[in-house]
Amino acid sequence: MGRYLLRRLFIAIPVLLGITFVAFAALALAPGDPILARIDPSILAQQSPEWIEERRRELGLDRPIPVQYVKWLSGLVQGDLGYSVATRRSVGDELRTRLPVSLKLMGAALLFGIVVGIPFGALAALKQHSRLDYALSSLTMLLISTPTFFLGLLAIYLFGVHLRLLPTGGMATLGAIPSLADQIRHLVLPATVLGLRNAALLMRHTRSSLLEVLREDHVTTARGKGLSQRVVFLRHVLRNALIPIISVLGFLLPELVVGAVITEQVFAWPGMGFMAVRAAADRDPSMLMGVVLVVGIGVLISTLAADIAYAVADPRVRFTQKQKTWI
Amino acid sequence: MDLTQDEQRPARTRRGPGPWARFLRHRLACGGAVFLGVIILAALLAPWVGRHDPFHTELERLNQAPDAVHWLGTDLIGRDVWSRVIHGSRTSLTVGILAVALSTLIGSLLGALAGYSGGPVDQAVMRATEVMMSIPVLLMVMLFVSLLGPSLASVTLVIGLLGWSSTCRVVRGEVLVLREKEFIVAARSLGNGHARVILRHILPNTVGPLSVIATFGFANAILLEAALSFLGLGVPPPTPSWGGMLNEAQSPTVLAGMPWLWMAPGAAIALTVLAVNFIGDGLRDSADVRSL
Repeated sequence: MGRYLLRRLFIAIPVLLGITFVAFAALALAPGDPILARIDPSILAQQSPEWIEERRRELGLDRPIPVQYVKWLSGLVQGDLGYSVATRRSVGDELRTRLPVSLKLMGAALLFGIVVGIPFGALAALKQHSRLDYALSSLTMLLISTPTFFLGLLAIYLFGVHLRLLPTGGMATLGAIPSLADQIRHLVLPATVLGLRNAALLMRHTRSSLLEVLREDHVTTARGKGLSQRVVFLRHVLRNALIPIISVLGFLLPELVVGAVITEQVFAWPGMGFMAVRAAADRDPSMLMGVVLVVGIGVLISTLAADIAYAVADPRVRFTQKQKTWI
Repeated sequence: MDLTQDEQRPARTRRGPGPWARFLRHRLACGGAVFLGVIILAALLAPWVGRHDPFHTELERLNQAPDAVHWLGTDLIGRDVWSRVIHGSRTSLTVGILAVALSTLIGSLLGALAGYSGGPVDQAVMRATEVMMSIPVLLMVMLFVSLLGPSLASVTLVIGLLGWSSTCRVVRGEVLVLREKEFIVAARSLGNGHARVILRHILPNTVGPLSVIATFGFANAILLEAALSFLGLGVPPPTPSWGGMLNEAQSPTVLAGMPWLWMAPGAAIALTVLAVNFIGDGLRDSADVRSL
């Protein structure tokens, strides 16, 4: 296990560097004076040109790109993400306030996806070729094909405008006394819309994973021994079938992020995605650079965690050097 | 079909129906192909099918509900919605086809190179795909749009340039198996160069999985373009695009009072992507590609 862990971590290092390189490329390619994205604008405005030239030299902005990259990276390690060109605020501060807001939405959506997707996927697999199976499979395909924003608009139209059941924008009622119930009511629609796509993807994977295990010899053997369907399913099928789902969960995060960007826009949810869309519209690469870094590193960590969890659950992974290919 | 490929397949497929027959048996895939055919035809014949000029604004007919003249009503500045939906298919299909062609080209060449050479080249390409997979394409496109500004060309180019990672991984996996086969060894020992072996002997044998992944990639590219246009970062107005039409529906008055403005383009995206996904499912089952 130790060897596997080390090898896996070792592979992640160049990927991490690659992510920072993409983020830096955004800064390097941005039009305008690069110092605007690196020094607090309120300080910059008060200083003499000599002082600014001094900082420019310190940051290596007069040197070749590779030197600039190394200087930027050493600042990044110390938590210096620079400043937004458009809003003039610190990128790090902005991300710190926005990220928890997004995580709340994404966490609720993921929970919804797991709670709905895995049981229904199992149901479809157990009743393969039944009407229920066809209905569920068609529904998942429809959900995977429907763009999140259309789903969101439909949800607002139905539940917000016509039925007037739920609030359709923001995180809480403006001007009202903050309460948990109010916050949860605001979370229901966006989390469900975002979660449906994840539920559909998880359902598809759970179904095919279960079908694969159901065909295996040890399941036939277990049935042949005279074990009840329930015991066969819980002990011999489900446990084996859920292992591949671990890596699906790891690969769900990029989907979740993309969905969150769009869902936050539709429901005016003031998270990181909402901010990213505004930054793109404002032509603000230094802010998007921060989002790309946070998301890239987050996805890298989650795939790493999924791989390690997989190796814990399925020892064969540790001993065969063959790499899993997932798309 | 050559012998080497048959060996790895279960015996029943040798006598059973070929890939085409298996695809035709997949009812949903056939339905999807017919629907996509209709959409392509509508895109080609848009000026006739659309019946109206998609850019023409009728100032005396703003925000009209659907009637006999304007099948899907008119929008906020009096343009015919039916015509804009029909012309919007051109945008979606153009971006989808060009982007997927570009990413398939890059992905298959890089994947073949990685799988065929192995060693440090393989390692470098694989790490690069992992970087690409860690940053969702939508975010990357947003980053590039913030640098270049939105336009039809930049959206297509960026989706195409950034969407190759899954193609690359799949082709690499296929090539790893193929390069050990006898016919490749034979082709090499006959004096063919590496480039010729890759292009003439290896890549043609990855067409099955490649067509499946390109089909799903096509669906994804359409969704991406729609999402970007919806966010106001894609195809700029006045060019009709399905995602852009939904962008206009974000105001509460349109959303609640004029559903004809956004329901039709939304349904058009969903149905087109659904059709393409069904085709992909059918191709996967008929090409016998398990891992996808």
